[in-house]
Amino acid sequence: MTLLTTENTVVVTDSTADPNDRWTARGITVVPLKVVFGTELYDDGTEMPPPRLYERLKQGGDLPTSSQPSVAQFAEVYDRLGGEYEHIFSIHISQELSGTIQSATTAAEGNDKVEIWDSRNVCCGLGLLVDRVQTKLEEGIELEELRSYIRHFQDRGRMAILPATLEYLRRGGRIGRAQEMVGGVLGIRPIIQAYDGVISPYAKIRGERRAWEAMGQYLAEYAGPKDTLYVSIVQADSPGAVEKLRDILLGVRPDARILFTGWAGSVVGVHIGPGACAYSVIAE
Amino acid sequence: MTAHDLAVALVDGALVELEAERSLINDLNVYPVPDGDTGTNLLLTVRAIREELERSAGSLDDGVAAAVTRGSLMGARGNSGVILSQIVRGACSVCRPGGVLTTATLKEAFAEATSAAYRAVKKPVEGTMLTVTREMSAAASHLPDDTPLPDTLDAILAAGRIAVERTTQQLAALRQAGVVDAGGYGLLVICRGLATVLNGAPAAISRAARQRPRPEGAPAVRSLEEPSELSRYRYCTSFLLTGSGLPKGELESFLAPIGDSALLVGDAEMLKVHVHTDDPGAVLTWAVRHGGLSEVEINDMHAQTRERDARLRSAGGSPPGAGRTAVVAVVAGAGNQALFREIGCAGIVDGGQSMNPSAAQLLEVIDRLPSDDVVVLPNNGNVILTAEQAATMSTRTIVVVPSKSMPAGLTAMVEFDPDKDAVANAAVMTQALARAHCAEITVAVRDSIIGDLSVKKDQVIGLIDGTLVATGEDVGGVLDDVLGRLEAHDPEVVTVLTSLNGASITDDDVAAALARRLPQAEAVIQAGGQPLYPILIGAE
Repeated sequence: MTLLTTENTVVVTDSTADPNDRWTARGITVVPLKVVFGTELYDDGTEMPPPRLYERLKQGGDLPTSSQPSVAQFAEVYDRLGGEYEHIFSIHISQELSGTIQSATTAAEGNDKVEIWDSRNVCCGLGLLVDRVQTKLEEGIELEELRSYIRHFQDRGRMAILPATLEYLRRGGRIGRAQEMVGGVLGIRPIIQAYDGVISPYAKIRGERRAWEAMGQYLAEYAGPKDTLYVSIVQADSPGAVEKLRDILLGVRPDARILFTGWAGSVVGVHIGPGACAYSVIAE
Repeated sequence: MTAHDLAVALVDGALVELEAERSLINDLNVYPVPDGDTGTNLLLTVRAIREELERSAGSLDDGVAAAVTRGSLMGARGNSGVILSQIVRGACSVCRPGGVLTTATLKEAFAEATSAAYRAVKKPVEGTMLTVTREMSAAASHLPDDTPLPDTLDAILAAGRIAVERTTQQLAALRQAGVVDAGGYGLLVICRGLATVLNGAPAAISRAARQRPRPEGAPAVRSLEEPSELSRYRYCTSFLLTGSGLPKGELESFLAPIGDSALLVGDAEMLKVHVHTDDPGAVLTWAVRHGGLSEVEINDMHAQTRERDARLRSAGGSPPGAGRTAVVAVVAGAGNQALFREIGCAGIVDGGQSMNPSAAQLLEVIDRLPSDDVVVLPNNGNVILTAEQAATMSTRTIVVVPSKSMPAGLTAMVEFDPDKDAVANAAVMTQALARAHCAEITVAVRDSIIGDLSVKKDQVIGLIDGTLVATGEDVGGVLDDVLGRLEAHDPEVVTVLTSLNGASITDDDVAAALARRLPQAEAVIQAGGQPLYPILIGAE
C-alpha cells in the first residue's frame, strides 16, 4: 500500500495539455513542445503564448509547424524533480499524434521514479486528465488506484472539437480518417472527436447554429444519467466560444463540473487553427 | 425471315409510330415543369433496343429476345422508359427459339408483360401504363387460342384505346387537365406500330435507326461478373465455348470436383462458362478439346481480396470513391457538378431536368468506381426508377436514395460516410431527405391549370416539393413569393443554386431576398449552372 500525495508525487505533462496559470501554483510541471516558424523555434507557452501565435498567423507568411520536446528537456525535468519526489507521473499527448512520449520514455530509461502514461488524448483532454490526477494527489490516493483511474481515462476520456476549418488539421497530418471529411462548402461544419489516441470524424453539420447544438449532443450521447462529469473547455482565438460552449454543455448537463477553461496551447493551435474550440469530458 | 429480322422490323414499326407521335405524347404531360418528357423517354428507350439488335445481328434465335430485353433495360430513361423496359422483358420471356407467333403466344406475352410491369413499381397507380397493359392483356386472354392473329391484334388495340381514354378519369391531375396518360398513350402507340408490322404491312424504315453505325468493339454479351461471395478457390475463370454438340452435362461433372460457383449458360452451340477453381489450365484444356475458346478471362480473386482489404485499411488521403462506399449522383450544370464533387461525390452522371439518363449511363459511371458499395442520388423524380433498375443490373451493392432534386441530393450528401456500407448510408441519407424542402423556379413550357392556379406558357412558376405555389412574370417576384412560403417551414439552412443567365435578377438580388424573407436562416448561394431552372432552393 503506497499512499500518493503532493508531498511525494509530482505530475509532469507537456504543453499540448493546454496549461493554465493555476497549474503552476499547484505544482504541475509542463514541458514545452516547440512552435516552428521556418528556422525559428519557440517554446510553446512561454516564448509563444497563444495570443502571439494568432497575431503572427494574421501577418501571413509561411504557416508554422510544431516539434516534440527533446530527450534532454525531459531528462533535465526528471533529474530535478527526482531529488524532491518519490514518484513522477509523466502524462502526455497520444503517441499517435506526437513523438513527445518517445522523448519522455527515452529520458526516463533507468529512472525508477518515472511512470510514463499516454493519455490517449490531447489538448484539453490531456489537460483534464492531468487536472484530475493532480486533484487526486491533493486528496491523497493509493498508487494502484491512481493507475487504474488513468486507465479508466484512457478508455473513456473524450474530446469534441469544432474547428473553423479543416485546413490546419489536414496540413498537420493529424487528422487520420477525418481526412476525407468535407468542410467549408455549403456551410458544412465538421465536428472532430479525440479518443483512444486518435482524431476521427464525429459529424458533418450544416449551419453554424446546428453545429453548436451538435457539440452539446456529443455530451448527451456520451454521458450516462448517473455519471459524474468533469469537463474542460478551450478556444483557439475564438472570442466568446468558451462561454457559448459552457452554456450549451450546462444546458445538456447542469451537473457537469467545469474544471478549467482557457486558451488552447500554441502547438495545439497550430494544428486546429484559429477559430476552433473544443471541450473534453470524463465520466466517473 | 429470321427472328432477328422480325425483331428489327417490329422495333422499326414501333419507332416509326413513336417518332411521329413523340411531341404529341410529350404534350400530354400535365405538369408545366420542363422535365424528361414521356415521348422522348419512350422513343430513346425503343431506340436503345434497336441499337442492341444492330450490335447482336447474326446471333441465334434465343439471342434475339435477350438482345431486345437487354437493350430496353440498359436504355430505359425516365419512369415511363423503365416501365416499358419491364413490359418488354416480360413479353420477351415467353419467346422460344423457333417458336411461331400465335394468339396463344401473344396472350402469354401480355400476361408476363403485365406482371413484370406491376412488379417494377412499388406502389402501382391505376390510370397509367400499368392499367393499359393490364387491359390489353385481359382483352387477349378472353380470346380462344385459335383466333386469327389479325383479329387478336385488333381486339388488343381496341382494349388499349379504351383503357387510354379512361385514364383521364382515373387520375385527378389528368381529369383536371383533360388529357389522357402520356405513358399509357405511348404504350398504345408502340403496340400500334408492332401490330402494323405483324399484320403484314411493310415496316416503314426508321432512317435514324438505320443510319446509326454499329459501335466498334461493343460486346454482344455482358460478361458474367464474379460473384462477391467468398470462394475457397483462387481463380475466377470464365470463357465462351463454341462448337457443335457441346456436352454441357459432362462439363458440369468435370468442374464439380475442381471448382465451385460454376455457372453454365447456353446450349449445345454456345456455352458461357464461369467457375472458381485453383486450376484454370485444366478447365481450359478440357474446353479446348470440345470447341472453340474465346473471351477467356482469369482473375486472381485472392489478389482482388487483398487489394480490397488494403483499400479498406488505408486511412486518409484517398480520393473520393476509394472508401467502402461511393456516391453516384445525377447532376446538371457545371457549378452543381463541382459542388457535388467537392462534398465527396465520386461519380457524376450528367443530366436530370434536361435529359433523363439511362440505366446504362448510370452503370457506366458506377462500374468505373472501385467501391463495392454504391449509393445513387437520382436528384429527379423521373430518374428514381431508372436508378433502381440500374441497381438490379450490377453485381455491386447499389442502394438508391430517392432524392427528387439537386438541393435534396446535397442535403443527403452531407450525411454520407464513405466508411459505412451502402445500406447504412442510404438509411441516414434518406432520413435527411425527409427534413428538407425543395423549391424550384422555372418557366412554364405549356399552358396548364393546377389546382387553383392557372399557368400560361412562358410564365415564371414556383414549386415547393413538387407543388405549384406561385406564378408571375419575373423571377424576382416569384422568388419572393416562394421564399415567403418557405418561411412556414422555419428553415435553418437554405441552399440556393442559381442559373441566372438571361434572368432579370442577379445573385445579389437573391441574397437580398433571402435576408428579407428568411432572416433567421443561414444561406449559401452557389452558381449552379443548371438548365431550365433559374433558381433551385433547398431548405432544411
